[in-house]
Amino acid sequence: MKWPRTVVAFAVLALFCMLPLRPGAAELTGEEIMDTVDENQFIASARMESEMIIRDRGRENVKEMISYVESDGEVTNALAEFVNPRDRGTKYLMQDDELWMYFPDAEDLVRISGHMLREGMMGSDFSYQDALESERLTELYTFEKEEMDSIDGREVYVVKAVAREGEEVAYYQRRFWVDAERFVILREEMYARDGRLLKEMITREVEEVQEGRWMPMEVVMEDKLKEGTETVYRIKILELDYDIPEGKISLDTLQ
Amino acid sequence: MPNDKYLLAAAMALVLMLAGVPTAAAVDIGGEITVESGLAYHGDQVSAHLRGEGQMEFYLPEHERFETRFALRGSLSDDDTDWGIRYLYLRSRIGSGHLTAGRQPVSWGYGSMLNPVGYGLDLEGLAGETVTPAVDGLRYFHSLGGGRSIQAVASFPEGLTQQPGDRLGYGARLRLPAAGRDFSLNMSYQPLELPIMCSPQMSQDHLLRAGASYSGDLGPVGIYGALGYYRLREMEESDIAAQLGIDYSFQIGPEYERRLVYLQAEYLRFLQQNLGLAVLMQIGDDRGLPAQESNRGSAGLGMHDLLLANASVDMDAFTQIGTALMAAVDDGTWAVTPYYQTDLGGDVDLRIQAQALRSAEDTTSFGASAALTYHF
Repeated sequence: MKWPRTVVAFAVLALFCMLPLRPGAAELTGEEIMDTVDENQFIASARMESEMIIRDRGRENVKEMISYVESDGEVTNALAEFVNPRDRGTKYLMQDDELWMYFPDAEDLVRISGHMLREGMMGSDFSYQDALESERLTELYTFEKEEMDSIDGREVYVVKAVAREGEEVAYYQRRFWVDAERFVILREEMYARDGRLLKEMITREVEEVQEGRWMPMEVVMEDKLKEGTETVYRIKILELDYDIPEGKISLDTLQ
Repeated sequence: MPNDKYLLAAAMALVLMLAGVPTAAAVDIGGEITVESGLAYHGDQVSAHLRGEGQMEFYLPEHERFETRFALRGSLSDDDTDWGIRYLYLRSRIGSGHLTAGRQPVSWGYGSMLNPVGYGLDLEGLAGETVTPAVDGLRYFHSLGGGRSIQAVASFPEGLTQQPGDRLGYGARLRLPAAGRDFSLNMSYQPLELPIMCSPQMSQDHLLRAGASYSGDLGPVGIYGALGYYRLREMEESDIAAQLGIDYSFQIGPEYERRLVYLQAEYLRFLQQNLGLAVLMQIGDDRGLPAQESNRGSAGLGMHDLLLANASVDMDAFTQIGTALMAAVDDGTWAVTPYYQTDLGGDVDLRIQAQALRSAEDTTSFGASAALTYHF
């Protein structure tokens, strides 16, 4: 029996519609995966209200802050002001890979020495270097895709990253677990050059901030060199493409 | 405190003015309260003290063209009650800068514990404590772009017995930060009263300081320093102050028990030995360090060589232990202050510290105190 041409045409069309629009999971390279992650995580400008919960052996300390972030794709600058009672008015300015601290009582701005950048911010498991690293991951690392995995029932790509020669990075090796649908990092391990596991970050909550664009809203960072500590970073309000007043994130306005 | 009366009147006027602002948001209040108890042993005598102090700041509504700051301070002890205005100023934004009038902090820091070329005498991070003098006056700040700035200050320190015209102090700072460093050129001219040897009288004079400060990184170590020219006008004494300091941090301890150690040390020397740190301690408001009476050197201008060191260890995210050392190398005076500081939760800190103080007269004093601070 010969099938009518129209039926064959519809069958072929239906077959194409069943295929995914982007290249299949098996076809994406590690670099392509991380490139999409970079695109997702890129923030041109934003205002955030967030909190950092520092936990150590059953004790807890909460830091609340309001942050402004702006980036041109090459360089990211940020200003964070703490609003919890103990630290109220303290500000950190991250600009041009430098960190400045504003002391509200003295109304003075002091440059933070380079050796402090690798230490935890305000006693947390997030180092200043973690916050300062603003370049795209694809510029700093080479990637190799590993076996697929799953986290909480969601299919994830596992991508191993090694620092590019000559690049100054906070961690020589990293491993990412990337949500295969949303392209947001659900888990990350950070290693030293000798392969020692330094930190682990787990994303607890993600949110669709714009159509088709998902971002982590709550992450937990653990310093693997310390026992019993973790830091939860939670974004309570995120305003993307925020109209940051000119000069807000600068040394000039903090002096 | 004559200046405080004028400032209080200004505070009332400010509150009345802001009450009329139709879109005024609620005023927020914050601050801290500290209760401290301690013992001191000096010359076979033991004394105890119980003291409370606090600071309360009114966070006033923001305005497009100006901002205000209003903070009160107070202290209460066995034999003294003191309260006053910590800060009260009005700041008006003008082009690329701003003009601030009233009682305000003026700090020209660069990461040192002691700043010999600042405006007044301020201490930062020594034994975990910071002292910033407040000045009554005017300050103009102008941005030159790229983080560079110039500022000028004119102040009227209270508590001096000089004629009003002689009480005017002024200064200027040109700040030139760049990648990896911070550089500043400073100048100040301020009235002060100096103790006279073997006399209860105080002599009036003016101190001119002109110098530079620098901070940067040398490999993994932070370095900083200052160089300043000092001159006392009436006494016609001059000297050059040179300071060099370093700071470094590292992790120690076995795996899974790593702790952050922070070290900082600086050395200040008055090269010609004509003047000393003691002269700086005569500057400024009576809310800062008290005027020092001394029989050392020329009219009490000793402490020509000063070593400051601070070492601290973060036991965890909430607790720090440390020790601070101040030593006047030239006359053998030193003070050591070990301390323990911890966050008890609920915005309450506990600080326990001890102190041993060796004077130039070879007498040693000891003390210990415990303080609770509540932040709100």
